[in-house]
Amino acid sequence: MLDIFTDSPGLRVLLTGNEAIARGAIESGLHVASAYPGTPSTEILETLALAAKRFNLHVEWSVNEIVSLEVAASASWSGLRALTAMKHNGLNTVMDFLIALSLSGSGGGGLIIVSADDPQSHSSPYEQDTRLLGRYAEIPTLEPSNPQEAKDMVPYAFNLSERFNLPVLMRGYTRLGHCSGDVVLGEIRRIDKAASINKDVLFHAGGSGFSPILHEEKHRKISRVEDEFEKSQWNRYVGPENPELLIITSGAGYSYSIEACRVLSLNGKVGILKIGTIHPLPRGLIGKYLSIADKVLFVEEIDPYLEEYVKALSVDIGVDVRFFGKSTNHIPMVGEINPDIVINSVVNILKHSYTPIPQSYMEAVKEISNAIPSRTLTFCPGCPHRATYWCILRAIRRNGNRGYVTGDIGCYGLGRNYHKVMKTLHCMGASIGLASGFGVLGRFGLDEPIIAVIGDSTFYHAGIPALINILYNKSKSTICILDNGTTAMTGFQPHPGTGINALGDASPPVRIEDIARALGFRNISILDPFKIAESTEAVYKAITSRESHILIFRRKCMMLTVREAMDKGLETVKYMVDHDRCRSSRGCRLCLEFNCPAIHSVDGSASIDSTLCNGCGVCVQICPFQAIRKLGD
Amino acid sequence: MYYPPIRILIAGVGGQGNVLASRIIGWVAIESGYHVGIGDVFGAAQRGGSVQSHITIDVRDVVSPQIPYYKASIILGFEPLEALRACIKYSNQECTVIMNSKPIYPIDVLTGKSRYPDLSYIIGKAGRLCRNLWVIDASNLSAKAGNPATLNMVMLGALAGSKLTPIGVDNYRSIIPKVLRRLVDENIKAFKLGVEAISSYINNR
Repeated sequence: MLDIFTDSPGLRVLLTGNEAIARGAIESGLHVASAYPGTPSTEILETLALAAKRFNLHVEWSVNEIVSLEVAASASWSGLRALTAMKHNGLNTVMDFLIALSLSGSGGGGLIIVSADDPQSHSSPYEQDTRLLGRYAEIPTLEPSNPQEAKDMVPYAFNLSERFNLPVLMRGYTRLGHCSGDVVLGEIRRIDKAASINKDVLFHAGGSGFSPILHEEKHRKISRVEDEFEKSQWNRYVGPENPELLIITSGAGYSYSIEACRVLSLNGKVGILKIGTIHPLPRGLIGKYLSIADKVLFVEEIDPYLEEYVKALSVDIGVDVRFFGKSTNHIPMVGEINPDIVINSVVNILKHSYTPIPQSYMEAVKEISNAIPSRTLTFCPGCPHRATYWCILRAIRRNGNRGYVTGDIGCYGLGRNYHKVMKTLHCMGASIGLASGFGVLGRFGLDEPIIAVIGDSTFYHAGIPALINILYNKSKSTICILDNGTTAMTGFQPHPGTGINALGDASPPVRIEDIARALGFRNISILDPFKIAESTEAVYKAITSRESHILIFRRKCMMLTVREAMDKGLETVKYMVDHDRCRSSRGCRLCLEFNCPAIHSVDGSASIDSTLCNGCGVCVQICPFQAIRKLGD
Repeated sequence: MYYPPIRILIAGVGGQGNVLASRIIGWVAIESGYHVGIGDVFGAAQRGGSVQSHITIDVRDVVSPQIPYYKASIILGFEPLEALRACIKYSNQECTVIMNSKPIYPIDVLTGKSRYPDLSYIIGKAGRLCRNLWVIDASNLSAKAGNPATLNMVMLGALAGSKLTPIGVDNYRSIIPKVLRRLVDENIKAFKLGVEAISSYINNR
C-alpha cells in the first residue's frame, strides 16, 4: 500500500504533492532527476531516489541548483526526459543558465523545472512568487492546484517541453508539496531510449548579435503555446453562467475559494475561474469570462500576478468590470492566504454577513489569546550547533564582546535566536562572502573580528568561491564550518562530504579540510563542539589572531545519532541534576542560559527532563559546581 | 459521532509525530471510501515550534489543505498549550477536544522570559471553547508502551477509541504496521493504550 511506484492504474492512494510529482515523472518514463534539497521541494527527489534502481534512472543530489539544472539539461539535450526540483531561492540562482537555456532550447528529451514557493516563509529566508520568474524567463509555466493535478500535469509538461523545445516550469508551494490528498494512479510508461547528442545542432544561447534572433524565435514559440493554453484542461471554470462575483485564481487559491463558497453556501452565485497555465496566460479564455460578471476578485498567493495581467487585458479588450484583490486590500500582499481570507473578501464584496461563532465566544477567545506564550524555534536537545554557538559566544565575551558573526542558511540559522549570536542571514554562501567583505574594511576603521558560520552542505553549495575570494583579496576572518554530516534542515539528505549519494551508494567523500588546504589556508582546525573548553579556546585564539582561520566543528547531527542508536537498540545516555549541588536557587543560571529544551527550572533548582535529554553532556561541562551527572551513576 | 465533512486538527510541538498521525488518518479514510485533504507544515527545523496538521475527511472531492477558522470537528492536542492555541482559532461549540495533559515548555518559559499557564487554566479555558474536552495522560501511556516517541499513536488510539469518526478501531490499527519503519510493536501497544484510556474516560464521565 505504501509502494508509490506500484503499477496499478486506477488505484486511489494518499500522496503529498511532492510524491505526486515524483509519481507523475515515473508515469512519464523519466530518465534523469536532479535537485538540491530545499523546503518545500525536497521530497520530490527523495521519492524518485527510491525508484531509481527499479526503473533504471539516474537520480542525484547535485551540489547546488544551477549545477542540478545543468545536469538535467544535458539529459534533455541528449533526448532523455529530465526533471529538476528546487525551492524558490534556488530558482534565483539558476536564472542565468535558465534564460540562456530558453534560447538554446532544451532538446528533444523534455525538461521540467519544479520550483516550490514558500508563502509565509515557513522554512525560508524570504517569500517569493515563482510565477513572475516564469514570465521573466519567458518559458511555459504551469501551476497545479492539488496533488492529483500535480501528478497529471507532469506527463503533459514533458510532452509540451518536447514539442516546443523549451524547458517547462512547474510552480509548487508549501500547501501542495507538503499537503496530501487522494490521488488516482495512472499507468507507468517506460521509455527505453539511448542518449544521443546531435553535434550538428548548436546547444547555445547565440551570443554576440545572434541572440535576438533566438529571442524572437522563442517569442513565436510562446505565442503558439498560448494558443494551446486557450483550450487547456488545466484551466477550469466552476459556477453559474452569470455569477454575481467571478473569482480568478490559481494554485492553493482555488481550493480556498471552493472551501469559502461551500462555507458560505454561495455555490450558485460565485463563479471560479482557475488558471493552471500561468505563462503565457490564455488571453482569449480570460477575456471570455470577464464578460460574464461585473465584479472580479483575484485570489492568489504572494504577488498580484493574475491581477495586474488581467487588469491590463481588460483595458485592451475594453470591458467594464470592477476589480478586487491585493490592490483593494481584499487579499493581503504578503504571506500565506487561507479560506477565511477568501470568505471575508467575498462577504465584504457581496455585502453578506458571516458569523461562525457568537460574540460571547469571540470575547472568551480574545481573553485567552494573551495568556498563550509563543514557541520560539530552537535547536534540538543535544544539537551540536548549540554547543558551537555556545563556544563562539563565550569566545566573543572573553574578547570584550568583540566579534561579529555572519550567518548562513541551515538549521544553524536559528543562531539568530540563540543569544542573538548570528547577525546576518541572507542566502546560501553569504556568510563567507560577507565575511570577505567585512574583513577588508580595516583600513576604514572597522576593528571587529569577523566570524562566518556556515554548514557543511551550504559550504559545498556556495561557500567555496567566497573562500577563494578571502585569500585572493587578502581579507581576514574566522570561518566556522559546522559539519554535522548531513543536510539536516531539509530532512537529512547526504551531500558531497558524506561519502554517500542520493541512492545511498558509496561515493568518494569530498573533505572540507582538503578543500581549504588545497586553496592555501594554513590555519585549519578540526574541533569537537561537545568539547567546550577546547573549542572555545580555539575560537578565541582565531579571532584574536592576525590571520584567517578555518574552524571545522565536526559532530554528527543529534537526530541522526539518536535514530541510529534506536535502530541498533542502544540506550541513550541521559543526565540529571544533583539538587544538593545545584546553585540555581542562589542565582546561578548558567545551564539555563545554554537554552537546552531538556533543562528547565523547577522550584528554584535546575532540572533535566530525561525524556528530552539526548545525552550530549555539554551541560556537565558548563556547570561550575559539578551538579550535573549521568542518570543512574 | 461526526459526519463528513469531518475536520480533524492535530496540534502539537515539532517532533511529536503529528505528520505520521495525519497520514495514518488519511490512509484509513481513503481505505474507508472517503476523500481526504491534509495540510501539514514540516521541514525546516520545526522541532520545538508549534505545528498543526489539518485533515478533512469528506464524501466530496476535498481540496482545501487548511481548515477554516472555528470549523474543526475534532482537535487532537498532543500538548496542552498547543491544544488551547488551536482551540482559540479553530474550535466551536460542537467541537470535541482530546488533550494530552503533559506540557512541553517553550524555550522562553524555560529561560524565564515568559510563563506557561497552569494546566488547570488551560483545561478550564479549553473546556469553555468546545462541546467536549477529554484529557488523558498520553505521555505517560507512551512511556508505558516502551517509548515516548509513540505519543502520536496513543493519541491516534484515543481518536479511534472515541468513536467520533465513522471508521472502526481495527481499521485504524491495521494501517499502523504498513506505514511504520521501526518500533512497530511499541506503536501498536501505544495505540491500544490510547483506545483503552479514552474508552474508560468516556465511560467514567
